[in-house]
Amino acid sequence: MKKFILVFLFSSLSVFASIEFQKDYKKALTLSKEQNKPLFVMVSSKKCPECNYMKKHIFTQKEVSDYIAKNYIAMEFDIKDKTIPEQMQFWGIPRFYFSKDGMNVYKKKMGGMKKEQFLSFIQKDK
Amino acid sequence: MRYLLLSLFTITYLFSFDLAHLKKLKETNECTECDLSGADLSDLDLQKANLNSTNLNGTNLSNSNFARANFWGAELENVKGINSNFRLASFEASTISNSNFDGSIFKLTNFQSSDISNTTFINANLWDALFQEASLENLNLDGSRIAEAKFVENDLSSVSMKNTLAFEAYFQDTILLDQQCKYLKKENAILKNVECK
Repeated sequence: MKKFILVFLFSSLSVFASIEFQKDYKKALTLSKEQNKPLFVMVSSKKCPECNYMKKHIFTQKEVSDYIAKNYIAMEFDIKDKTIPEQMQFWGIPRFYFSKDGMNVYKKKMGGMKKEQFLSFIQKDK
Repeated sequence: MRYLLLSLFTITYLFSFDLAHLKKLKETNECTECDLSGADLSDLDLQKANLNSTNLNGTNLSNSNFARANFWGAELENVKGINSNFRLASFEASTISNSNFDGSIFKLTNFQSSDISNTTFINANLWDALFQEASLENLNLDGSRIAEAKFVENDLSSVSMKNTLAFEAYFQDTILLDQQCKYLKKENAILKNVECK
């Protein structure tokens, strides 16, 4: 029985992963430099249904979280955060930005989307 | 030649807006019961604009911001509204036909009692939009996001929904094709008193 529970818990964990978002931009930039990985920045809000959909239903899918963890340093800003870099300021959430140096954005997209659409977007022009 | 000239005259006459109306809209952000047919309203910031019962046939609304704008009872035939923001706008009781709104944002937009036909919303964001008692004929919602949108008392059997994100979209007293019902159930949409034919 114990073995069954352990196997169940392990398999559950391996299916329901999640993206580990940094909350401190300076730390995210340091990690980005150290690990030589571009930044994946999400601008969101707790009250935003689309943001919550992405967090609960897309970022918890192993394929997505593994891809982000392997290739990017993930950073999340609340829309009200006054330290959001100027080049990442725009109306509407959720917004997704990709940057190699924290200064220049080389790819961006707005809105909730399906897993396949999100993966296709992040894998394009990587 | 005569036929060509006559056609050109007819087209020009049908889509010829009133310059005074366009000036009024740009200066006051309001133009109700106006004739703006054929006007170029692209790349403009017209949020909260009041376009109640205005003729917008043949207009270009692309790349503009119409957030919270009022299109109540407006006429939108042959409209190009690509990549624009219509968040929280109201199209209640409006007539939309033969138009293109691909890639535009209609989050929380009100389409209640509107009449929409032969119009594309490909890759548009219609999250939490309201379609109660709207007449929807030959709409293309492929790749769009209708999550949490509310469809009440509609016939959606002619609506295309390929790869549409319909998470928790709400359908009540609506007519759907059997394949649409199957797709929407997979998408975790909520189907209540729906006819799957």
